[in-house]
Amino acid sequence: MRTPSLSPPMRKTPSAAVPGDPGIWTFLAADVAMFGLFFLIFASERVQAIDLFEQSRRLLDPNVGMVNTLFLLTSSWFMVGAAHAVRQRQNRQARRFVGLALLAGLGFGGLKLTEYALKIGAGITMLTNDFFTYYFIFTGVHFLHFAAGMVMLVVLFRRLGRVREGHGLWTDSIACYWHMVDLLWLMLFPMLYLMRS
Amino acid sequence: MRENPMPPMAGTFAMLTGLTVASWAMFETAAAPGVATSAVILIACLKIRLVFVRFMELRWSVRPWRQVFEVWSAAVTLVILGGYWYAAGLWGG
Repeated sequence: MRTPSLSPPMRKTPSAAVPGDPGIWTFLAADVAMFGLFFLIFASERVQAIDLFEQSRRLLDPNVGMVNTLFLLTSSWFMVGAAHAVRQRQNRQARRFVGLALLAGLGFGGLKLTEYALKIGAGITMLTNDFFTYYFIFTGVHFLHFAAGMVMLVVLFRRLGRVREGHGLWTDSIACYWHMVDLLWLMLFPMLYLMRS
Repeated sequence: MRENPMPPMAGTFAMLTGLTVASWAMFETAAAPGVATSAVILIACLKIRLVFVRFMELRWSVRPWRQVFEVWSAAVTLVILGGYWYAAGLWGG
């Protein structure tokens, strides 16, 4: 069996298994497929109203989108640390990383809610035009995923505080879900904020 | 065992952060929208792949999970870029 040369992974040899519960991967696949459909709809609608989409996109602040991307990436990275620490039987360390992931997640949530409030305060809603309908639906569905992930992180944070070892399956599954929330945003951000004509 | 104050895969995290800032900087400064947008979407695809393969550890997973997510990220990139190029008249428009 080939031994990969890169270091230091959490797993060092190819395996048939995925991290976490196999069921969560079926859910993740279905979820990314749904977002794939969102991206397809947005791309096809943009073709038909390119000027409207471009004018509307200019009303979004790419700085906010970039900072939010950094918040989610940081949070995701801390969950890599949490999963690794649990496998090393260091639940105290894992709990610290989950706490930091929560803090970075709060940054994303706070900034996203502020952005929504500013848009709505400026009279921009999902009824304004097609671009903002998609903007609010796509980022709204993503935000619901994010909010569910934050609840999972809080539950995990509490659980990790109760035992010195264990909860590996929980941690891996929640970490993979959290990475999915991150990677969906990685495409939403350029598609909504950075695609200029 | 001694606790590491930093999560593993710091290099991957640095790469993801660097690519994010590079996309944003490219958007702010690049002259040609077609080039900048294409680069930004391709960078997003690369970042997604890094998250799948490294953070979600799919590089250690045998088929079919890795293939499913590789195909998904390639398809999404093609759909978004294809739509953009078509609208811009760069591809069949």
